[in-house]
Amino acid sequence: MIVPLRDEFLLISGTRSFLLVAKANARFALRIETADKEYSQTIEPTDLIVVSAPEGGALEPAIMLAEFVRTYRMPLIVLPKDHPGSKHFSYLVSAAAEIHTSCAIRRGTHPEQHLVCSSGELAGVTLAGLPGQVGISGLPKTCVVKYVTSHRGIEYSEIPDNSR
Amino acid sequence: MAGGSRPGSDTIKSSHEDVDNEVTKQMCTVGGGPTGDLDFDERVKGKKYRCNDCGEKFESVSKHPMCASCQSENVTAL
Repeated sequence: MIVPLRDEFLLISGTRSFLLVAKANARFALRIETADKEYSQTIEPTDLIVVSAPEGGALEPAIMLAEFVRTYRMPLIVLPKDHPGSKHFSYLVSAAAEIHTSCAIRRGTHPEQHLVCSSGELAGVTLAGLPGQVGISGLPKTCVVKYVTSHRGIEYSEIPDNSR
Repeated sequence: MAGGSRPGSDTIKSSHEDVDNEVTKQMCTVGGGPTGDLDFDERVKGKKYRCNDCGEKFESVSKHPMCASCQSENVTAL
């Protein structure tokens, strides 16, 4: 499936979890902070910022997280392995050209941005940033994909019928 | 239904509701999968650079490094 995407968000909803997808729309350096190192990653305009909510929850924090990265370019924090706080993260964010969802990683502990921790129902999804679009593969048939905007409160709209 | 606002329905699923045993069984995100966590740490290899505009030294994982301090692309590999 290829869906046009510009400055709005794409919401991929499962039954109990969701992914929120945004385009970076700018070139900038993003800091990635681990316990002992600091990396810089160049984000390209076509890259994606994906927020995963493995247990679902409110949409607003996911939008805020995406905007923290996209608009305010705040660093991503990576916990050390076996950090006790890992299991309490209810929203995860990754920024990269292509992002795969996985339920086999410890949330918040991987500096590599091509993976984001997801629920089991949304695992195996690949999201690829394309010019003006996002490519989605591995999407479970039960998922619902919609646009979300937050300019005047949260509003939903349908993706084009010809999204393929 | 373009732009249809749905006030009060913005919660897809509360993390504190219906987190029952069934959900827990479906989730394998807490603490990694049944075979343990994947290990990627060794694959995160950055190259060190110095920004020629602000002097910042940094490690980038990108093919086209940019200074995270001043966003300059005028950098030199160390």
